[in-house]
Amino acid sequence: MRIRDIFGLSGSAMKAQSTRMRVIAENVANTETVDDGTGAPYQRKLTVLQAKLANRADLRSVQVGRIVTDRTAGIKKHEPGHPKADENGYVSYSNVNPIVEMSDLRDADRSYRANIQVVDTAKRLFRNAIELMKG
Amino acid sequence: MGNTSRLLEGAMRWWSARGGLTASNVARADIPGERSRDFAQTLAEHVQKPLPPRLSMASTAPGHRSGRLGEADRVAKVVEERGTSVISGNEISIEDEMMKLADISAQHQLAATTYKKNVSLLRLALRGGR
Repeated sequence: MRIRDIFGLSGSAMKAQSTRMRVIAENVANTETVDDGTGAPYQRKLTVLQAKLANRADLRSVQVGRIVTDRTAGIKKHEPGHPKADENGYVSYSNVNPIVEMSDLRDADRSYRANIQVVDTAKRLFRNAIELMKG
Repeated sequence: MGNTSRLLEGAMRWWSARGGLTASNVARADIPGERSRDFAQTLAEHVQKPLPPRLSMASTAPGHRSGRLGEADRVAKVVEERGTSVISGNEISIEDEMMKLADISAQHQLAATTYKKNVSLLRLALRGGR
């Protein structure tokens, strides 16, 4: 891999991590959503990242493979006056746990920053090579 | 002097390639089942390795060059390293990769500076020490 290829690779990883952060933001925003438009409570989404290889050992880019829905059941609260309450007075909420989302967000943020660091180092290596030409 | 330049060129190429591997490790740090990749040998072991045997090109005219193998023709073996696995099965540690990256940056800078000094010495010799 050439130094120039590092920029493309780390850039693709940063883009994938930012999509992951956007999905987490969507989840957090929908923590209290009891109706996602279909009548059912919001189900949290998960980003699955995928490596795109040029060959077995040479990684070309990282991309979002797919965004999957977490089908685990959400919590139920006893709120008889709520318009979405069932016949027993329970309201089904989303399966989003803000603590889990925050931890996932920190993880994505850490990876994003690590990729910035890689770009910074690649820039330094590039500069070293350019300096040689100055004589 | 020529050998030193070739050795330093090889060293810079080696550290750049290792930087590429580390970049790919960092990029794959959140992909399930991935492992850290690195060269199987150290730089010293790599440069001491004999060049791979290859058929040389035939020189059929006086202007033809034989096409000897150079430092760039040494093929470095890449291995996967085992690490502590997280729940997704990913075994890449960002901390380890960052440490590696700092080392790569410093070593590349060292090779580049030494190369530059080597060229300065050559220039000095050409000017007759003036």
